[in-house]
Amino acid sequence: MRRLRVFKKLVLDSFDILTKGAQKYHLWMAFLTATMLTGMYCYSIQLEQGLSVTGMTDRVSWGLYISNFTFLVGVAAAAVMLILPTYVLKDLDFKQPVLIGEGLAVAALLMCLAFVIADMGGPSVLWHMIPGVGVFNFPSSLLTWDVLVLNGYLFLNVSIPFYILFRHYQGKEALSKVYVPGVLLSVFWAIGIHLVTAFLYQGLQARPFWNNALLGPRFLASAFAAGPALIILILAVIRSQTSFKIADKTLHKIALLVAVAAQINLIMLASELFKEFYAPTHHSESATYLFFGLHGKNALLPWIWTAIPLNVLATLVLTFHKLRIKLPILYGACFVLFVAIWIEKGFGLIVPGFIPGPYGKIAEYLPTGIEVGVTLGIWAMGAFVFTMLARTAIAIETGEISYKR
Amino acid sequence: MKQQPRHAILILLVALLICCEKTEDNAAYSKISKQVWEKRNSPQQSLISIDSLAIQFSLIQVGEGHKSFLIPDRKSQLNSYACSECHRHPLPAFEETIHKKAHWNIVLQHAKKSTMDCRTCHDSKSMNHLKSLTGVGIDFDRSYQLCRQCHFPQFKDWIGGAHGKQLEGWKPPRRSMTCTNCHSPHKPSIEKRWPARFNTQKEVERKGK
Amino acid sequence: MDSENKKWFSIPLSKIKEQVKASCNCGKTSGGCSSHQEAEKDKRKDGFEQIFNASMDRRNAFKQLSTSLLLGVGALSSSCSLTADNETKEKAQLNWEEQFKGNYKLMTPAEKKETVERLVRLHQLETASNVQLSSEDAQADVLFGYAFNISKCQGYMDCVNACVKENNQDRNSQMQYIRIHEMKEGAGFNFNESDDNYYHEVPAEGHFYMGTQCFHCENPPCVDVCPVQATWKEPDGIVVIDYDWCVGCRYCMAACPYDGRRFNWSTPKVSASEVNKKQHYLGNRMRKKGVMEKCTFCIQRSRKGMNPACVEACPTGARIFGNLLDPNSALRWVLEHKKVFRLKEDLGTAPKFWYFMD
Repeated sequence: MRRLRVFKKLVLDSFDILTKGAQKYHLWMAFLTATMLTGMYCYSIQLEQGLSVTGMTDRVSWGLYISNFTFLVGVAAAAVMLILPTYVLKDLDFKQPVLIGEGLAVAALLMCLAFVIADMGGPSVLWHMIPGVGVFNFPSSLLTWDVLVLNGYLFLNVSIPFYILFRHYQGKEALSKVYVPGVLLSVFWAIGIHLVTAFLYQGLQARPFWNNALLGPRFLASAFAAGPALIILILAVIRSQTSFKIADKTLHKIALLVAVAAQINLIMLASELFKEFYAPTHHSESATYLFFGLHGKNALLPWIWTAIPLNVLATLVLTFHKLRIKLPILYGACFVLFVAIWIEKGFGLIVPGFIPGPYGKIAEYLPTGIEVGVTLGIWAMGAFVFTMLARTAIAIETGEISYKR
Repeated sequence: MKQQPRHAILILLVALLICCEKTEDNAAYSKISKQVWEKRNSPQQSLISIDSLAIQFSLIQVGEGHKSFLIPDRKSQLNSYACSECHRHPLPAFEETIHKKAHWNIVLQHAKKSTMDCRTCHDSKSMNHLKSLTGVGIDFDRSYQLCRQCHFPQFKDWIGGAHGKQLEGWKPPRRSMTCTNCHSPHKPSIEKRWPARFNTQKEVERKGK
Repeated sequence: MDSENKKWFSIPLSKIKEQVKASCNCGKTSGGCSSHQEAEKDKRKDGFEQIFNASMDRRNAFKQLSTSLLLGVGALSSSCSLTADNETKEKAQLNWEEQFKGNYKLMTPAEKKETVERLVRLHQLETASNVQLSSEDAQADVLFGYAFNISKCQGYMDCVNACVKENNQDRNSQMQYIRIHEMKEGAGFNFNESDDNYYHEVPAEGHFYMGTQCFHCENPPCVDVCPVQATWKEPDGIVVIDYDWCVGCRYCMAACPYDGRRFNWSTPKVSASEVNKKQHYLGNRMRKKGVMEKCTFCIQRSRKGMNPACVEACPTGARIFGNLLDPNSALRWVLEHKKVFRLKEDLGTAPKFWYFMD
């Protein structure tokens, strides 16, 4: 009963916090709400008319939605880069940002689930996937593995921070024997979610662009580069907008992680490029289409030739300590890296996997306005959720709200 | 006689709906071969459903080695059989009379003149039969025996089931078309034609946006 | 209780439930608790307990719950409407029942019959016409296979037309299960350079033609990846889809190496005069938007002993269909005497569609 009372007060306090703030905060939330509403309207059109309102066709049957889903699973997995040092290596410098990282993971996972539902042809029959009620094709179908690991990770990332914050809210210390096992599990689980998502594509013998052993490790490397980069940017915003203290040292340590992950990502990219272009085979056609165009079809060229140079530039900047140490340069490099990896994992991975088709036919893909609308709406939803979680967490951590008996 | 074309159109419309029952329509034509050629040469008739050609044909057994299957007969399809009804006299005698008009539309375009002429297959002494290269008589229902003399590989394939068209279904016993159902013996080559459709949506998809 | 005869994986929720029950729910982590004593109930079983404590497996429990839910809510929704006429109410009721039915593969024959009846009645209510919907099962000792004679195909595309008409495919998007590829002679089986949407006199000089469609693999990658088992291989070898069970994730489409599957990006429309009314539940019945479909070897025809529409329509006899288990079939003769090959043999999918030449 007492816990319920505390919880009730927490909810009221959070609601209080979330509805008050500076004008910038209100503008931000209003902007997000407007984007979400636009997204919902676009989705309603899609529900009404079917997926023909998107740019997807029988040739390229996964597009913007699944690209974003894939990328965001990586961002969610990147929370492990903060959890690992905090709880396992007991590095105190990470103790504050770890809750932000877990909040980001929750927001990213909710975005992933939203993208999957947006992409489905029959969202009203999703109950077919519930084990027991429907038919759950485990362990044969990798999608079922993905459902399990993503929901499990969501549960871990909701329950553990909630426990810690709940205790802090009451002015108590969180008991390590309660949360540390869960945390250790989530470390392995985070690697698991992105590896399983990679296996979704890696296991398809029909798509030689994806059917290689390096896809899973590449996913992990790019996730651990893009995710913490986003966390650095978010921490920068939090530093400037709230009273939450984040030491420079913390940012530098995360930056080092990003740098190493980005370097590994580039090494893997080099390996892939060598394999595809040293002795091109019939299986290299997708890579040829992506980088050089095929039979005059070159819609993806501007995308990939923006992404790769930006990626290389950002990695170079992050490699040099003298540059990485300067915070404005760090923020710029992180932003550029995030955008570059987003392009690479989306348009540079999902779409070329389908082009050319099984009989060599090329039909290019471009998302429609409705697709873009729904995508932006879901990103706005993620940002909205994250803002709420972060604001509450910061308020609890800084003692702004607490349970006084 | 005017009923037949109308029946033809009606039954062809039914064919378009891929009606799988054989409509018992004895009044209609009886020549499978002619209809197959007509349909093949007119791209508007994009479906040949042999079942729906509304033909009452009788099947005869063909046995060759281990293989045994059924083919449509020929004699019951001939409008003017027996040939000896007209061909009582030697051929040159007919050239002066009105009978010159009969079979006038048959042009022989089958191998070179030095390889084949009318008498290669038709026995002028016994017009109700065909004859082999060595003069052995061949029944009209078994005209494939003639074709096999030169086209042995195709004949072997036909016996096995790899050449030619099957009728009715996959369930045994096998019912196949015989050589002359597709290849006119006088002009066996198959003419060119246009495809039955063109997919405009595919073009839109491939042109890109 | 579910360990044997499991067709799909289910999480043992019952075990978790037991653990939860064991912990005290009064908030204390140690020490005695008054709520423990309250758990000591009267041992005598009354009618309430007999029903609610009856043991049954989860599936039966859900079935009973859902059936009663269906009937209850269905009755509620249809009876509570004051303005709707009987037809609308009936339609609503039927649609409701259809929405919550299970996977066709797991249905009993009685359930199959029920869903067929519902679908026929719905079609009747919506279009005032009748269809013959069959739920015929596979026959014993039949495994369908297909052979395609590359030398004989002249590129007419009669098969494509016949297939579209037979299987009630969407006319707006010009959906075709079959593709005919026109290839240059001397360049090998070069699909990249081939043209599958030509429109000129055929056969074109210096070219040959090959047709592709779903190959009904013996080791189908599409079946493995479906998260809800909406697609499976029937005992007679045909890979089918339960259109009402498909959730539209399109994973199977990504997994198929042969471009065998088609997705309904919008509601498929066929004009009433062109609808083929002889339908099979797993075959050519009308689909809805957001579900996958594909060639079913004309299951509505082949299970009745007839050839698929493409085989029927081909004027040159380039397509051969038959029973692989019948040693006397034309198909088996082809496989034994002709030099046959299959596409993308190295992918290990074992398609039941062979190509050969004269």
